[in-house]
Amino acid sequence: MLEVKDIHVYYDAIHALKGVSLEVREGEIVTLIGANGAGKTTTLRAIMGLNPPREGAVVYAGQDVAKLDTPGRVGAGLILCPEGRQIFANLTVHENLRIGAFLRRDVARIERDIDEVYGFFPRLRERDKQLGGTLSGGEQQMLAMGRAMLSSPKMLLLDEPSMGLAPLFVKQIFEMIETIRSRGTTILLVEQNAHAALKIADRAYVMETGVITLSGPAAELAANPEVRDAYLGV
Amino acid sequence: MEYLLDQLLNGLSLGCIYAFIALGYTMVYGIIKLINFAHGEFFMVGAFAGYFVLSAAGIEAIGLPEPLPMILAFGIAMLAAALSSGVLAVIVERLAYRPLMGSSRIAALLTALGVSLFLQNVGIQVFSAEQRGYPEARRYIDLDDAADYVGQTFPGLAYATFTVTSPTGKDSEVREILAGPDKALTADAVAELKYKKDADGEPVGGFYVSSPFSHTAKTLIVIVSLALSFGLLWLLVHRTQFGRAMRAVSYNPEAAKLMGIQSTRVISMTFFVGAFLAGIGGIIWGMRYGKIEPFMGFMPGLKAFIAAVIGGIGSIPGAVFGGILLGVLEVLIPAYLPSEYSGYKDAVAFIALIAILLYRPQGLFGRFEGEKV
Ligand SMILES: Nc1ncnc2c1ncn2[C@@H]1O[C@H](COP(=O)(O)OP(=O)(O)O)[C@@H](O)[C@H]1O
Ligand SMILES: [Mg+2]
Repeated sequence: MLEVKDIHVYYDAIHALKGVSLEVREGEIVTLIGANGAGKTTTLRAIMGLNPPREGAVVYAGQDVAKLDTPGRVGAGLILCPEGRQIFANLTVHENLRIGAFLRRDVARIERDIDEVYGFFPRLRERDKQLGGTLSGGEQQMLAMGRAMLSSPKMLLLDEPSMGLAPLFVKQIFEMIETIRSRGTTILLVEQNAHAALKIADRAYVMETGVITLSGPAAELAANPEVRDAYLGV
Repeated sequence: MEYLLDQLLNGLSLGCIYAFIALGYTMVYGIIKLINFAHGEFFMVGAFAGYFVLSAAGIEAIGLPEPLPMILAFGIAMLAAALSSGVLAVIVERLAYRPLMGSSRIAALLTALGVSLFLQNVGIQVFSAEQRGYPEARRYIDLDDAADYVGQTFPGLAYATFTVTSPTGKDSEVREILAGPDKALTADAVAELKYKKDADGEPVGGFYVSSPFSHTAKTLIVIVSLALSFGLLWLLVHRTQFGRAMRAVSYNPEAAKLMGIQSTRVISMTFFVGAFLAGIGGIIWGMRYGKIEPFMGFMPGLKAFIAAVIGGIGSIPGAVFGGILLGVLEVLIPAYLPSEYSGYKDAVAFIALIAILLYRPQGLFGRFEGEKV
């Protein structure tokens, strides 16, 4: 469903991605783990066209997406729930969800889907009319996930959805990810919480300073001594 | 007391026009952080578009019952003014500002100043620098019906227009006054008119009676137009997908892209809406103050910018409040000062600006943009 082929991304002189390749097949949850600054966020941004690769290609649903700008990719069902949530602080909770559905034409179903998100996250329903900026970190993450769901993603990229959250929230977020997958959305999950990520993922990639160093079935990587040492803290 | 009320209404209608212009300043600033100094010229172009529509006869001749032709003519002229300003703004944004996206703020600011001067000069080329009297609404009376009006006086003027060819071969329009408030229409004047012909040999056929809106009616039109426009704008910003997109782009353009929003389209549309309102301001200015010329956008544009800053630039209610406040202060303060100070009318705005920058730099309705990207 998504294939990243040997991409190189630069920030001015910094060579942030040095030939990254990975693949996510339809219906999978694939996780990309790695230390801070490894290039995970850059990979997701490259896929979305926010930092277009200087070399290499991103193929989504059988098509090279180089010609599509970011909104074009969103229109094709490729959705990023970005690092740091990026909630619109000046829009209400309800409006944040509505704007997630910006490109949808099935207007009649949008309110129903919002109601469903509220079913998952009752705290959001209570704060329906509050500005996004007034929510706590955990609530903002729920809102960011809800907003991404409202975009009807075919392929969802999640960038550190559990970052900085209390354990109770982390649990809810991971349950949510499994629910989204069970409805047929393919997921590429970037996580610092390697433990939880490897538990729900089918396959995993490990990234170090701009290159993929390991890959394989998630269970296999979870058992790999190097991974356990570096990322699972055991 | 009556003097105070009069001055208050004068200030209110001036302030409403400032508000019409300030809205565009604040919306454009809100979305791309650009102080669009050419905005005053959008207002000017709107005033001229309205001028040409009101000057072109046609609606009066349809023969609808009074006062429908007047209202219809004014409505069409207002729409034309608003659309011309809006379209001009979209073109300016596309050609002058969009290529600068991502460059420094000072470059954009200087470009905006340049566009402003450029448009003023185009205005001189196209419209000429002379001041023009704004057409009053008028109705048309066919010569066949003229007999009914003989012996009457008119609150406005009764006049015929026809074209003459000057010795240099250029056609120009002349206006012959037939009657007025203290001069009744005579049978002779009507009879003479029957023999008048245009330069192309067409008989004149009839005459116009200007039916000016009263001072109070004008003030009312100004206030009602602003209230309606503000209400519709509020709905647009808060109740539509476009409004949500506009606020999203203004807060975080990159996150807006991730929602599938084409920010260029939203920006373009924001320019259109802002200038649309300035165009309405332009025709209202012409109607209210009676004179237009290509430089007319400069002072009101500057005042409206100050009004937007006073209200808190980026804030829509702030622009309306700031505009009205400034208009009222600008009329009331000189009205109560000894007459030798009346020349300092324009200073009021600048003093108000300095005061607000000293004591509340974010403006009355503004918030400090703490965590905003
Ligand atoms: N906007 C930027 N400008 C310059 N360098 C950046 C920028 N964003 C990220 N980098 C650099 O690129 C590398 C990869 O960063 P990132 O993709 O954010 O890593 P991760 O998400 O894995 O923590 C880091 O060395 C980081 O310093
Ligand atoms: Mg990151």
